[in-house]
Amino acid sequence: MIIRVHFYAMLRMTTGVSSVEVETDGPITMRQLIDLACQKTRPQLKGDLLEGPQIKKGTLLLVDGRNVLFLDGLDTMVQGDQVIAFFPPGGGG
Amino acid sequence: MQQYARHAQLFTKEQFVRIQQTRVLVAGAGGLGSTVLQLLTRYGFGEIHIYDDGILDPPDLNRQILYTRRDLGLPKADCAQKLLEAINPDVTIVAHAERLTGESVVPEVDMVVDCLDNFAGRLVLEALFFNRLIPIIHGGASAFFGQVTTLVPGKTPPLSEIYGRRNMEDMPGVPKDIYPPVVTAVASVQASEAVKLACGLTDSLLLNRIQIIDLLTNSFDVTEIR
Repeated sequence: MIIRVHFYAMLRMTTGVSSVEVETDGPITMRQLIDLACQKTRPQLKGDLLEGPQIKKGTLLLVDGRNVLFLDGLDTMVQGDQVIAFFPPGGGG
Repeated sequence: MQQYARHAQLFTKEQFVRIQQTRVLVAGAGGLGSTVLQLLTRYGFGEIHIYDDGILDPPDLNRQILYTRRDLGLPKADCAQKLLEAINPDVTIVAHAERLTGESVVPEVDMVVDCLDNFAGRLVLEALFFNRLIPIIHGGASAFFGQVTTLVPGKTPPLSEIYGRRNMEDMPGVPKDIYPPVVTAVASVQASEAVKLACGLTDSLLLNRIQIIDLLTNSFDVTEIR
């Protein structure tokens, strides 16, 4: 199964790509997806998204448009037919 | 009206009348607010309320296109009002040189444009307006990037159900570095959303979708958000 992760804003700048594909044997957790996305891009991506075991404040990890905070957090299961998007915080005026 | 000759024909007469009757509150008269306020005033909205408690500082001048060096040290809301009234005296412009708080007594408006620079303030907007069934057009910008989404009670969740209320309360401030053109681009999309909302063009609004503007790679993406 191929899961595609879309990066937006500063994450696109730091990873140098707009999306990455990871291959898995089946559904995986968001935590595992982040690890795989780090391997495909840069190890520092994890620090861009997480603060220790928590999602960084203001960072949006979206599964089909829904923030995983309102699902099962980093334990949310993801699979290939879902739209996965990562946004860093950004809301200046 | 001669001033509207280049855009009035884009809409039906009824839609244009609706624009002229629409009352808008613009929260924040900084980078985003400068462009939003100018566009809505030039467009011929009926009544515009400006909320900003800030004083113009030199670093503001790289992107806050309502102001000049003559305005340094002066309240932004008052300077904005003066210029906007000169641009279009047919629009009622009301300056409120104050910060919106949970206790603010706010005017009756039809929509709010969120041009704030922090998420705690956006929670205040949500309590004052979204929870009273007033739509909010959210915009934000940082570095080369920005986003816009339109929040309509009954049709979309509020921002706190997208970001998480606790996250919004303690979200760290965004870096101050900002590419001025992205501010204007984000604000232009917000102003366009305001026009479409006023006209009732609901199907073309950014409802449950977020527009992400990236001027580093020149990409304009829209993705689902709910």
